[in-house]
Amino acid sequence: MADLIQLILSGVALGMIYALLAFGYSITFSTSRTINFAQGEFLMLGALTGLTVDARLHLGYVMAVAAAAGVGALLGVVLERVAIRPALRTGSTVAWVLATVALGIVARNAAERIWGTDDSSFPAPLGSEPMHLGPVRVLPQEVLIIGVAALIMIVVEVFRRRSIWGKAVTAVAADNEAAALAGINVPVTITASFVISSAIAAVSGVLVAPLTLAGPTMGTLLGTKAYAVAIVGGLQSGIGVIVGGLLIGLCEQFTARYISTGYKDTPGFILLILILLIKPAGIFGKRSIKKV
Amino acid sequence: MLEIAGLVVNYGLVRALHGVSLRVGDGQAVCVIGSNGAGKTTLLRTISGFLAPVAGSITLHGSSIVGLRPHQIARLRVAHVPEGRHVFPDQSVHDNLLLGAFSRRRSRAEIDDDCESVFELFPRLKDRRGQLAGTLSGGEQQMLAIGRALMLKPAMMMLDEPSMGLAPLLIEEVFRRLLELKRRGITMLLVEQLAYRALEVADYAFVIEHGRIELQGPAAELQRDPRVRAAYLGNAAPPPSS
Amino acid sequence: MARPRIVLPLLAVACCFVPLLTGNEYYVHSVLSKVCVYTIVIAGLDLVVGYSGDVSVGHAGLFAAGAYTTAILMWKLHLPFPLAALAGIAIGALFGLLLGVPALRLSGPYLAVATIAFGLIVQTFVNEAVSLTNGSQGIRDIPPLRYGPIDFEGNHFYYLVYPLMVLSLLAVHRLAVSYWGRAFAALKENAVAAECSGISRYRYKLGAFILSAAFAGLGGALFVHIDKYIGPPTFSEQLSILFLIALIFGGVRSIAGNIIGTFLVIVLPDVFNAVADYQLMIFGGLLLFTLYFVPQGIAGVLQAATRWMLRGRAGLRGLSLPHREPMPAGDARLAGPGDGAPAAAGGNGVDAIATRTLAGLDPAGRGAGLLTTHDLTIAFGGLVAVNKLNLEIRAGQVHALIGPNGSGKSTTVNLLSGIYRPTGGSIRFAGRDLERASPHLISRLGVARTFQNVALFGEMTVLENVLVGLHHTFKGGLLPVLLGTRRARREEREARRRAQALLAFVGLGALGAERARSLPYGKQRLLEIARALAQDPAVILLDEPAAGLTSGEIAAVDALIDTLRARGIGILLIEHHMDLVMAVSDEVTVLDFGQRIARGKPEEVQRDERVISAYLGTTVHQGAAAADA
Repeated sequence: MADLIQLILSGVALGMIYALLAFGYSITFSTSRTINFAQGEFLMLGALTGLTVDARLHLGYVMAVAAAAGVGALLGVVLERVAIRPALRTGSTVAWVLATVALGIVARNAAERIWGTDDSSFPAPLGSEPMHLGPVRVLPQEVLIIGVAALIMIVVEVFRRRSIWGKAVTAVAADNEAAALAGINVPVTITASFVISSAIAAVSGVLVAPLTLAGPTMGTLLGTKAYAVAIVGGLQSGIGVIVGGLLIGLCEQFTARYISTGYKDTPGFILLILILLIKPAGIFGKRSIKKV
Repeated sequence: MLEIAGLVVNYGLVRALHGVSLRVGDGQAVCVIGSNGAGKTTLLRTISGFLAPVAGSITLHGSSIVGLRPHQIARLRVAHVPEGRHVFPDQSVHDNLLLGAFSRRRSRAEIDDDCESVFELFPRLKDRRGQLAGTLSGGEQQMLAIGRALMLKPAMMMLDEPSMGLAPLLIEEVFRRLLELKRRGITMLLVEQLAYRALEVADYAFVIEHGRIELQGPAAELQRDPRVRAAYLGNAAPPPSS
Repeated sequence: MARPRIVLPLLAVACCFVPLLTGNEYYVHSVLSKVCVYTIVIAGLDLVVGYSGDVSVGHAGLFAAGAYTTAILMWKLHLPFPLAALAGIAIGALFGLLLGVPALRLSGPYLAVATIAFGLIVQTFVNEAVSLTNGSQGIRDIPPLRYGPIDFEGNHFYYLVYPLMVLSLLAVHRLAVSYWGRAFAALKENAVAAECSGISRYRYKLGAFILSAAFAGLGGALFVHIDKYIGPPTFSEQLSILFLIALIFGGVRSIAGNIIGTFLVIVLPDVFNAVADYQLMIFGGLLLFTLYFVPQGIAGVLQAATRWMLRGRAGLRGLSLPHREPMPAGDARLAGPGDGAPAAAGGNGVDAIATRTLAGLDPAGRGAGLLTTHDLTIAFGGLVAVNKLNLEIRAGQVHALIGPNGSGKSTTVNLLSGIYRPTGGSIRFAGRDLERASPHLISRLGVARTFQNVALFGEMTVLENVLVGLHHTFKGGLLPVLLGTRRARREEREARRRAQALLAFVGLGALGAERARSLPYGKQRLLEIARALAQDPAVILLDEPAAGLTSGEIAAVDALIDTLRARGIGILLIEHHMDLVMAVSDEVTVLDFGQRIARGKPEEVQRDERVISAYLGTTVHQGAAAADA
């Protein structure tokens, strides 16, 4: 029984990381109808920045998170200006998909040059000894992830619903011409959504790194699985992203334990294809009617 | 207040406006009427900055606004109630109004006061202040769109076909409100398909056909002019002599 | 011009002998053979990305399917290569079907993600199913390609893969210049208009995907023999991305582009050995650069350069690198009479107009109801856009549908053409219920339409736009096209003849080779009508054909409608130009709020009080409305 709870907890922790990344996807998708195919690489850059700040410069974990957020924000601006905006002007989907992919490739190579190609271990801020909650043993980092991820998503959602700027973002996502008529600067809002999305990705890197290893290739698979989460849950729904993340995180851990570690990623992808077959808008997504 | 001279606008490959000129004076209510496809919406969209004119000028209080982005023109307090209303469907009535005031330097109290005066004008919206705008009826959405534009504290308000898609009784109600706004002295540029409705509200009218101003004059005169009807329904044979 | 047609095949044959020039095994075998094998995959990928316009980041998975099938069959079952390769192609195509069916229901990013997921699933499977694939060890003991005196090992492998590459490029080229290529281009530019012209989006996109997968499978089957070893790490997402980079660098939709792009992607890492550590960054940067500044790829640049160098030398078509443009209709024999008034009935194609109506759909003669609706209703959420509409379009008659903005006219046309599904009521045509029919089926049955905002395929030529409408006349299928059989060529010739005649009929006879988007607006509308006629309709739905036209152009449309009516075609006309409506209609229905408020002869409707009120609004000055004198 304790075993089961442990498994569930680590599934939830992993799921929350996916949810964070997918949360980022949904933010930029709602305002610009694009997904950042370099999101995994942004996670990686956040993790490596955090590594430098924490392990090399010994400035502590909190500074590492802050630095990662900063780097992420900067990457968001670069992404929007260099990859997204020019691609949207060409009007084709291939353009922004490949542009963000290209940026990801550049990011990965840059990371290799700066930090080397090897993976390093990331010091866990709360220690790597498992905590004991009754009979259940759980890694403190997992608890930290669940807490921080939930906090980030709650804060962003509250901001989105309560503050006037948050409402402006929702307005832009819904109808950007009407938003412009209300005096909202739409291009700046879109850039802002990329800044937030990328900063969140970078911070997720610092969160997940202590659980695995930090290296230039750590982000790719995570980013890819997060797409599955975003699509399964519903690309434009905050709840959907969390539910999708938990679903896939749990699927993964259970498959790894009871079937085989090699196949742990597969159920998530099969779930993705099933959802695409049955309800492409995602579990919590809305259908939209296209007018001709 | 608003002066347009020789405006030429292309919509894709088609020339939509062939040198349109018109004026809206301070405190005036001007309407532009004409049948579908005549160029009315193109005119408003060009003023608002969504389309760039090929030639001609648009000046607001004497300075040109051609080339400005839509949000910049909105910040000059030119409110545009778009065709089809375009309320923010997943946000509440109250939020829609707050967003209307987004670009103003404001205190919370001031905004709340403005909200209250909008609710005074449209009591039905007050009852539904927490409701999601997408669930409102067409008429309520139209009133919300006008209310949202009013939150800008506009110097001039442009309305694009407020009657579209509304049942006759609701059209009645909306136009009554427009008369009230005119009474309060708001400068208005009203674009409408329902010519006679528009002529009741406006002081001055322009009739646009195939991208050109074919007719203009004080609204009261045009109400009696048979050429207005011809612009919509073609030249009818004279009725059988009675 | 005979010259390029001989030079290129000669060049192609000459390249066969390249290995004889260089005895160096490493260079020839490794690089050239690899280029040939990868180019096969890239050519197939071009079908999906370049022609069909879909992003696939999962072709490595299809490549792996072909490779592993072939390797397993040769290694475990000792099957001879040709059989194993055929199996590889078949499995590749099967995987293409399995991926395509769910993925192609989507568009853009969803499709891309689905293909990424697919690629990862394949890679995982290959890694884990150890008993089948030898897992992470990979498959090593690939039997040699030796059959008696024929030896394809080492240098000689080139003699196998090079012809296969040429054949693959040729096959894709044949496809691109055929009705398939036109279908892809039409779907890419305007999927709705393409569907309404009789092309099934799903079927063609899936077809492109499966073919592409077959090519990837073939590439995989050949790839096995390059290093005589395959293992899971090769078939990663990075390989899929590499394929895309090769395609985009080289230039989509271009034979030279496919080859050049593949060559660069394989050779550049070696050339940049000094900066090998920055190789990915350079690729990424080059990809971004290409996407924005050189979207036509290197082949496109070379072609532009060649044209620039040969400028001013009239008559010299030059050795411009092969670009898979469909053949321009420059054949003088097909030119029709000069443009202007519609030509008198003559020429094969024109008699083909209205064959359906004349042939059997309307034995009762003029006036019989062809397309009828009964209580047709559609509601979007709470809003009822069309409410219990009863409409009847008769053979040889023009029925006008008018009404103020937002009254449901365009919605009605969209219902009749299958773009919307009604929520109530029925639509009957030729004894069939059409409520659930898809747009391309409705077109095939004999209902064609034009669009309010002209929906032409702007990048295609005028003639090709009409050829898209003639899609239904191509009955041959895929294989004849690929093989270039006499039947396929005959169908193409026939269709071009008919298309030219149709252009002459609407008065665009001399403009066949022009790009559709370069036509003036009035002629674009006529072209849309020609495309609708190409579908051999019994009923045509004209959605605001006169919008934006000068009075001269409106007169031409008027004359055209008269001619069509005389041939027995039923016409539904949506219009705001009241003078045209009055002049040309037999019957008028007036809509307001989705409901019919008046019906009758044009003059009656024009004077109807309800109609006036619907358009102009009720007026206090009723006397003014009556003061018509």
